[in-house]
Amino acid sequence: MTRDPLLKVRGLEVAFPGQDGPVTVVRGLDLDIEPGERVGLVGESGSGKSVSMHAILGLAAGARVSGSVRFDGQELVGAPSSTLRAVRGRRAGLIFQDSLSALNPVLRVGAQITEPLRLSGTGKREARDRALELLERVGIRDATRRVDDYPHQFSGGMRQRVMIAIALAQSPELLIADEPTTALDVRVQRQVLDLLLELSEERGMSLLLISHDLGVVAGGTERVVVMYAGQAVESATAEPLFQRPLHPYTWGLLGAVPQLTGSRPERLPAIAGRPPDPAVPPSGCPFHPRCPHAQDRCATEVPMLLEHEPDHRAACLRVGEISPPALIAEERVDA
Amino acid sequence: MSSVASTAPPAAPARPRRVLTLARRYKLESVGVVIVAVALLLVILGPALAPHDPSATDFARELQPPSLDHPFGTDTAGRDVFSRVLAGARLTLLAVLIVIASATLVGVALGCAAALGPRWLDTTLMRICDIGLSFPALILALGLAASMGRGLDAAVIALAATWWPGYARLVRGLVADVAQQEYVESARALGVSRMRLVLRHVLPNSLDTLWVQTTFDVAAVTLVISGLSFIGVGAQIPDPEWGAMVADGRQVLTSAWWVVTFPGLAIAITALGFNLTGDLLRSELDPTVRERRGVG
Repeated sequence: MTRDPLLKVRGLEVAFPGQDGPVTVVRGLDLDIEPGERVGLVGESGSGKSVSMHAILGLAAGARVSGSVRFDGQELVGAPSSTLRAVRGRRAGLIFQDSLSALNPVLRVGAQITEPLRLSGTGKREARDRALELLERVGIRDATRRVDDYPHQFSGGMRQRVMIAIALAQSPELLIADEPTTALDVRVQRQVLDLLLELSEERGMSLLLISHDLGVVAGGTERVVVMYAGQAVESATAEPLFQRPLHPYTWGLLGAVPQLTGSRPERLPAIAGRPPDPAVPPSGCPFHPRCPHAQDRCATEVPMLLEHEPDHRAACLRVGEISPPALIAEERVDA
Repeated sequence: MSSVASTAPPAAPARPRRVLTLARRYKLESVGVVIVAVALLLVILGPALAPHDPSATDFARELQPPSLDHPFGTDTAGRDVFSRVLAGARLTLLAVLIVIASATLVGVALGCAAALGPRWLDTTLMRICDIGLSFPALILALGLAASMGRGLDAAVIALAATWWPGYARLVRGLVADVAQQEYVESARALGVSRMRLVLRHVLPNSLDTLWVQTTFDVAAVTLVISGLSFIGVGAQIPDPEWGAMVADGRQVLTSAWWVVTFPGLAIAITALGFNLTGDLLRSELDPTVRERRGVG
């Protein structure tokens, strides 16, 4: 008997009302996260990564959400707000990209860490001790003093650590980190990522790391899902995805990661064109207008996310017919 | 005390210095703050400080000019104007504060409901506000107060009933804006309940603008309440209410200027003080100004 995954998303669709009818920004996303597993979700800005994660916790305001989201077996789509609240924070935490706007400017950080704890009935002293412990754990020095500071008194990296402490306060089983490092400089990015991975490991907490940067998810995640135009286009365990990517879009993304070793290209290769407008999605394969390998049938046939190798799925009609450009074929994984 | 200061974190001594810095930056506005402080002190202590009984008549000493015994003179019934101005602070300002407090409470509740509730509720409440705001507050309050009979209570109720739509409108805008901020969503992602979201995350972040508005409104309501009493629908004459005192003295304006002048000055200075304080709050709390200055 196989145990159900902690998070099981099937056919998730998210649509927002638009001027000419609803605009579907997530179209049939499937995603599994096992307990303790670290998954990377990668895609360009506007590919629907963040929206789908917010929709999972019922936080996509004004959106029409359909499909199925099962958290530990419990259906969350269409669930009453009491059910959602019981999951939010307590079982699944969410970390936002911009820590400055995601922290309440008029509350001391200590109060923001203890708030969810106090709500679930922890005593005042105990909650404060826990806040101190968490701040120390996420690497904030002098926690006893800083616990009474306001968010604007912290640097960007420190604020992101505070956010992590808040998310950890209720010991969730799943932590969704939505572009947690995008607003930070490179060195601090690495530190924050390492912290997230460490915490995930030591607590056996599942981690869903959302990023537009494959380089960010490369080290440390066990599985990577590549999203394009509101769909998963490739999904595999990390190593095969980086070594033998199947989808031309993934090739494009990998080509856009700057390398420190090897010959340096004049310019970073870019994927031609722009992501499709969700209001007028392209026919057939959503990537075909930008795909250098597109054929006529790509414009008419919709590719399914199929398992081409064990535990390696891709949604491309031409898997096996085409191979990645030379750049990718070389050793690319620095993780 | 000194032992407390030495163990306090280094941030503590900065506070008095900050007050000084503020006072230097806003010289004129500081005068307003002092006026407000004195006015609020008088609300508490006014009647106790009065040298004479503010309503005791003494027809042998009516319309006496200012003297050592009666610094502001006496009125048409020989009552001590100085005592009446002091005692009037409580009556007038308490009435004003009750008006502002109830209008703010109603406005905040309805503003939040409009901003966060269903669309139809928003539309209904805002149309009611439109109707309320389309009447001049003084006229509407005048009508309401007159229909409830004379007296300060009637004036207070009437004013509170006409003053809330401004707050509802203001709070709705502020709350709708703050509710979209990411930290509200991030609190929601922590499983914070709706009520708590509003009370702890949305409202406190909307209060700055509200404080500025209430401060200005204390000045405005002071004028309107005194105006109502002056016309005769508010406080009635033995009560030491500033507007009523001005009304009482206006027949003797040419012969006994002090009866009108001192309560009139009290009204004017109070309004000025709250307006200046409002200016100070606005320049300190306005986010655009605050950002330009950087946070200390």
